[in-house]
Amino acid sequence: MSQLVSTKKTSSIKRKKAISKTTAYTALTVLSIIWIIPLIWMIIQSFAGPEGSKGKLFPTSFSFHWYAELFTNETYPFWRWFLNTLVIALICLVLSTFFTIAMAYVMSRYRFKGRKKLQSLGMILGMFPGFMSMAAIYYIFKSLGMAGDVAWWKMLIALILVYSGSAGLNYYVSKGFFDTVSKSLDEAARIDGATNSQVFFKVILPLSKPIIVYTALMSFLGPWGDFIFSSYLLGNETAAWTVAVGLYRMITKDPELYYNTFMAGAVIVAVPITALFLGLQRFFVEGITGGAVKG
Amino acid sequence: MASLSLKHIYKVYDGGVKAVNDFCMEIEDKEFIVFVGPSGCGKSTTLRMIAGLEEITAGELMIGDEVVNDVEPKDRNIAMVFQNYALYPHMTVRENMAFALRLRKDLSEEEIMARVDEAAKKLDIAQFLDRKPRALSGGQRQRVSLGRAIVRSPKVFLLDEPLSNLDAKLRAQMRTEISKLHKQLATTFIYVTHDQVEAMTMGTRIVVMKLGVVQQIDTPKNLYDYPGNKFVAGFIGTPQMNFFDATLRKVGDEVEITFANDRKVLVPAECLVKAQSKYFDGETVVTLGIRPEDVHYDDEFVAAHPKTALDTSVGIIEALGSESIVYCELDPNSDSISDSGTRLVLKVDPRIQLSVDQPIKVALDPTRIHLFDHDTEVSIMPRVPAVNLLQGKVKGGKVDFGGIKFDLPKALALSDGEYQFAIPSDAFRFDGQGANEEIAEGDPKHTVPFDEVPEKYRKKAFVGAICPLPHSEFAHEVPGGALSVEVKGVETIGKTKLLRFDFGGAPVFAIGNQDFRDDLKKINTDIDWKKVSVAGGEELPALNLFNVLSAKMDKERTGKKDFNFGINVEGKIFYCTEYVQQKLFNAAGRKAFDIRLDVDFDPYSVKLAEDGISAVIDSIVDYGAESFAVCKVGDKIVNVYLREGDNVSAGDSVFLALDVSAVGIVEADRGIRII
Repeated sequence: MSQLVSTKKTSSIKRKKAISKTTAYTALTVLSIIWIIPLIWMIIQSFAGPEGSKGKLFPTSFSFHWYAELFTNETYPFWRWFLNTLVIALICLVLSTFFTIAMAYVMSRYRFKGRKKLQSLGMILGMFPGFMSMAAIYYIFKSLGMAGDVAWWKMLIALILVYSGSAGLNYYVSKGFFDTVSKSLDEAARIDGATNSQVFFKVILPLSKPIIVYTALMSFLGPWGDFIFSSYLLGNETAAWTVAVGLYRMITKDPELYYNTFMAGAVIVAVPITALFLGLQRFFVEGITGGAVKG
Repeated sequence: MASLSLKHIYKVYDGGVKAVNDFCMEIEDKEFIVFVGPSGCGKSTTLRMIAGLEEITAGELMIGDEVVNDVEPKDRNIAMVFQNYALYPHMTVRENMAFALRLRKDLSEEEIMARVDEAAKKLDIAQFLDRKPRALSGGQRQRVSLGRAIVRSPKVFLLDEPLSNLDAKLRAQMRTEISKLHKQLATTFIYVTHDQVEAMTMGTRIVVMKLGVVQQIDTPKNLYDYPGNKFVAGFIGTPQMNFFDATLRKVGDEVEITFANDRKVLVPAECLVKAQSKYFDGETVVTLGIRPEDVHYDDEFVAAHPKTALDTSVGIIEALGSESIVYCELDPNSDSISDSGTRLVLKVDPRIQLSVDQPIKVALDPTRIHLFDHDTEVSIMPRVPAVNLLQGKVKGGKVDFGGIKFDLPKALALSDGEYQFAIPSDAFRFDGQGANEEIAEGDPKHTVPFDEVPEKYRKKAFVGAICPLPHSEFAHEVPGGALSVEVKGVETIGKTKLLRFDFGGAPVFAIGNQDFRDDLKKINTDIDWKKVSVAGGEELPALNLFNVLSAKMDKERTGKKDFNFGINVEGKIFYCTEYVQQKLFNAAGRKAFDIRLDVDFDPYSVKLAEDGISAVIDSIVDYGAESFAVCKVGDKIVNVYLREGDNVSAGDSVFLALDVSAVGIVEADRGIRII
């Protein structure tokens, strides 16, 4: 009798598990389809034939026409925007990552007067949307001769300064990581004769690959996709535009003409991000601190 | 290879919490010192202060001959092994061990590799050199971290609970290996642990700490046999020492010990000879301690010690294989499970068959009894007794201790009668001993380097400021003794010799000179009467040897960036020597001028002078060979040793000069000793 009861119980648990699993997977599948449809649709549109596909769900023919158009159009020099954005984003990647990591390390390891206050100030400043300061930043750069009616490369430097200047404020995720790295590593290195910078560069940085990769990705993504700051600072100088500004201006100028070009541009924009992510992904997963300390 | 000296080391946190309180210790070269104590006792903090990872709030840390308070960890020539190994995970074992050597930049790569290989061979990790730490087991990792320390051949090895993360078997193995390493390397080791077994088996000397305060510093054996207080007695040894409340009463040649529930045992008075006699009144409750192995359950011992035998019954038996631990209850109304203060734990041969509730007869080993004050928990029979309590008959200016007669000085002009004298064991003077002693005697014995106040600090004088007199001006003679007394025994305890006299049947202990011979039979002695206090009829306290005056640090601008610094003691400014200046700034920083200070000094470190702190002489006390002026400074009393030519009498106004190289300075509010 008891045998029967227990079998019944087991089977009901199994059934419950199966139901909940099926529900979860169904929901997840539906969600991922919803997310991926616009992406696939965009890619399909970008490969439309020369006749275009505006207003249609699917293009009637396929070609690389719009990609060629994108790179040869002289009014809107996409390759130039792409290069601008890439250079800005790469420089910001290096600068912002260093600022963020250094700031996080200092906040995690050093004890100095006003540390707590500085931390909360950073938190509060970080909560304000960045574009609130846009007008102020514009006029500051204008008075410095780096915005408005000036050479295109000056505007690009201004953008780099805007993006990497505030990077230090985003220290808290990295600080959380450093807090988990045992302090006795710093202490051991210090006793071994390392200076502060040697401790940072030789001991802590090599252990921090996951967080450096995360910070680097974030530092790249920000400038790469930013529209608000760049559109405000870069003005009407086509050669100085970034991809976001350029593509937007292009499509608003003539949505009919540039519809498929825009789609091709959008696909191209996604390429570096995907490549970067795939390249750095393994560091995310790999924990490197194993064996440092007991734990 | 270096000695260490820790002088009045403090660690005080912002909230005023004293993590380490007045840590004083001299560590000799090649010693293996173990800091032990429960968690939060400040042992790791002390170690980290030695390493330079933690700032020293006040005090002086010397490694070799160098003060290293403000020296970077890397320049202290120390190596440290951490509890969690702290290996660099991204480097191989070889790179880990070579890291410090590579940073030095003065060694060739071959030399570095040679050292790494040698250390690896010593620790038996040569086969792992190219692995990363994560591919090693806990024991191997700890070996690597030892290796990382060895390759640097440091002067001092610091180990912070290195074995806590290992399992029991590995721990025992590493314990012997670290001891072996200490012998091989022949350098100073400082080892922190909370495990008393590690402490007992490894240390040449152990420091027991509790709540930031050093409880006792001694060899493992002495710590076990002569614990200085109840905490040390209970902390060292498993199972812990049995403690009972008891009263003591002298009955002829024996002492009757009465336990709480009126059980009585008798022990020979000789066994408790060092215990202070004031506790033998049959009323004062003391804490009696006896170790489980000193409570015997074998017929032979019980038959031989019928007077210390107790009837009890078996409560719980813990059979450990090599021995059995038996919990008994002295009070039949109480169970033996809870620690009620009447529980008796003893170690028994495991072959003896015992059953629960079986009545047994056990006997205490009377020579292994420990006694502690019930309130202060301090041992009342220390190895070196602090004070002798003696009954003396006074007649015609002489005192008679059972046939041994001393002349009483004028300061102790007692009328004829019987009195009780409290004579400290360090109050005996011996002929020729310590004559012309350079350092002022008395407590505390501070000596700091004296340096002339440099010319640059005297550009413009403080109004009325004076330069301190050199230490040599304060030299004084120590008189010897003339009365020949028979010596009953000489015991060597550490660096002191304890003499035992017999004053008419009463044992008297005296701290003697360390080069006294062990077969000493007779010696010329006298009593240093200023240390003696008298009770019964008339009460006369001992002379206060610890003068305290309040002070403050002062400065005066003499140029753009030049200052005069001085200590203002009760309104009189003495120029600071550089040493004092440095100490004050180290301890208090910019607040040095705001904090209240207490300056303390013994009567020999102050003298009458032409200029100084103004005082009025209240009285003169004459101890025969020495006399002292009792002076009033404001409402404070200062005792001053009178030197030849000091012709003063009560009521005179005088000036007092301090020996700044022998004073102690305490930050009054936080109670931190700065010097």
